[in-house]
Amino acid sequence: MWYIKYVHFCLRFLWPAPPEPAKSRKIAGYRLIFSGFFMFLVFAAIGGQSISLALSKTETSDYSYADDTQKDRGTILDRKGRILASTVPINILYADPKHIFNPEEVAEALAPLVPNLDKDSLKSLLTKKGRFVELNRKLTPKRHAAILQLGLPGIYVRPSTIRIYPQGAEAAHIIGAVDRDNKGIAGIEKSQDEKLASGRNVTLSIDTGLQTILRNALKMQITKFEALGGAGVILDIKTGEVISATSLPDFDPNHLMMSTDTARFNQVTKGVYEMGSIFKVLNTAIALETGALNMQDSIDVSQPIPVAGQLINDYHPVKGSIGLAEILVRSSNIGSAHISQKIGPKTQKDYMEQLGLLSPSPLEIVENGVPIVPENWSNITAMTVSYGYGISVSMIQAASAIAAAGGDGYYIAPTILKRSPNQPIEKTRIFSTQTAKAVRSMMRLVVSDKIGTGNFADAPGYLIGGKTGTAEKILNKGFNRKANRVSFVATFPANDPAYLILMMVDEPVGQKHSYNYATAGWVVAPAIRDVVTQIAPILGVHPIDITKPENSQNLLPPIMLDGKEAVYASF
Amino acid sequence: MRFVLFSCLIVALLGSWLYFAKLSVDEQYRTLMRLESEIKSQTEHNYVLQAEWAYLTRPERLLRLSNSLLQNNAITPERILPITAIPMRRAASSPALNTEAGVENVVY
Repeated sequence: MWYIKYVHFCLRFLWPAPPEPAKSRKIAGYRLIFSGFFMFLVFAAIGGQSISLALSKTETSDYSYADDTQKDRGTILDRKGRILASTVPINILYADPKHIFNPEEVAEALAPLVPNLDKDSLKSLLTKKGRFVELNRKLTPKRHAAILQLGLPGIYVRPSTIRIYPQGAEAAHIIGAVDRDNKGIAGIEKSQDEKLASGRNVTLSIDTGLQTILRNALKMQITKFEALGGAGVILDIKTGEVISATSLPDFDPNHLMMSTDTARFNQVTKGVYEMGSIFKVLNTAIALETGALNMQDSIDVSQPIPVAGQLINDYHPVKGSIGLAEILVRSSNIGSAHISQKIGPKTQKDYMEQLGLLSPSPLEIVENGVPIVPENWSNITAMTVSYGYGISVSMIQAASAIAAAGGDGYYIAPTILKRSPNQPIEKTRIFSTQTAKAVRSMMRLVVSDKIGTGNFADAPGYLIGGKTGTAEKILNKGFNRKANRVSFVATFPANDPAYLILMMVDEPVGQKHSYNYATAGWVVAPAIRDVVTQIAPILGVHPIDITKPENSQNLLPPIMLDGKEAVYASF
Repeated sequence: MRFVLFSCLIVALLGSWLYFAKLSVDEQYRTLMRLESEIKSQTEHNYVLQAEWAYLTRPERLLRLSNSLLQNNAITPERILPITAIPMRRAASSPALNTEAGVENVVY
């Protein structure tokens, strides 16, 4: 039968006949090699897997390193290490409306613990579509615990961070603020956003202690003279550091949304104004430096100067000729205008440029005002610029420029960041030491001599030098004689000026106690005296004995004012 | 064959050792994570305390408290003297002060 052959073939295939002994040994050898190779592969696979398992990272270890990349925003510190802005953890209360079965009941239970929302608002939020509804961003630990105890379904708490400003409104304009995502939107928070976002700290040149003194003094004068506001800046003349800068009205950056646009406006750096007579300091310095006039020259100031249908006049008219010093001490507009003609418009413009008055200040802050500069710098422009009209600059620009004229003669770009002790300071010499000496001597006489306009700024012992400035505000393409911006720039101690203070009060109203005067001498000068008296001991400025040669040699020999020998000493 | 068996044994031993090493590393990772979490928590706590301290010691508040509770005033110039204005310590051998009868000499 054919299939018997087939079955036989199959059986032989399954159970082959034993081979010959020699062939059998050969087959056994092949089998052994095959088995050995197979076993090797198995063990290699097991070994490989063991190594792979041993070397693999767990999910937890990955997480621990991922967390490191999330850095908290850096802290902003003042020059003495006080915290101006910091990031602290908070808990955000939120709801998942899908998990809430009875919004009425939940809203009623939650309402007493969520002060920013009443029951009805809560209920409408809890019935919203979506899976995330924020209820409160600033949950205190006490309220957090109380909400947890309620055990409400669908109400959850998520950890987050918030930017806080422990000093409140102090230096608010400089520090700025952040948005809800902790991204800088104003001030240092914005200009240094990259650095702060990477977790690094920023140390400012501001001293909060001095900031408080300056702000309080300014606030007091604003209240006393029913003014709209004011601003002030303290500058370190030797380093260009802004020690203090305040603008009133101000705001609390912790509650930014509650502030007005006016309060958020930084009058020190963003606002550009016609500075008025404080520019006469620059005019005098340029005249001396260029040789247009010297200390012995005198100018006839008895006649007003007609200019473009207007008269350049003096607040306190003088008959006859007066010297350069007396022009500054009496704050003569006529005298300053005459000086500007001797200087010439081109030279005046060149100096203004060198003093950083024609371009925005390089201060490390986003709110830097663009100066309003005359397009055509004519003789008339030179006259008005000489007494601070026709050119609008920011207070910080004016302070840096006057620091060069009334200090050591160097222009140093202002900075809001603290300089390290070994950091080189870029200085540009604008005025010679002799010019600077003459200018600071004359500024001292504005305060110390009885014909000066800034007598109320005199703080015995501290040798304050200064200059008053009163500028009429612009109204309908003209000037409003009843609305002034009064300012006072002071340097101290006059024999070796270390600090400059510039304060401005906006639209002060004459009062009974000021005999209805609302000039810089009445409004700002007393504030300067109060500020210097308080800050000088903190800054390590000791009272000066002017009778000592080492102090008096830094000022000019006695100058004749009003026919008499002027005096520098205040005690 | 012995070589194969020996290699397998070595691989098995190394695998086991690596496995236990991995467990140990994992344990250390967990410890590290716990410590990191603790540091983060303490740092955050520190931030809060520092912010509270900055709030309580803000110059504006200190000035207000000082004015209302201590009646402190700014130092007037006549109260600030150079170091040379302070009298030197009297030497022990120097003549005694003129004293009233009955009052002992004081040696500074």
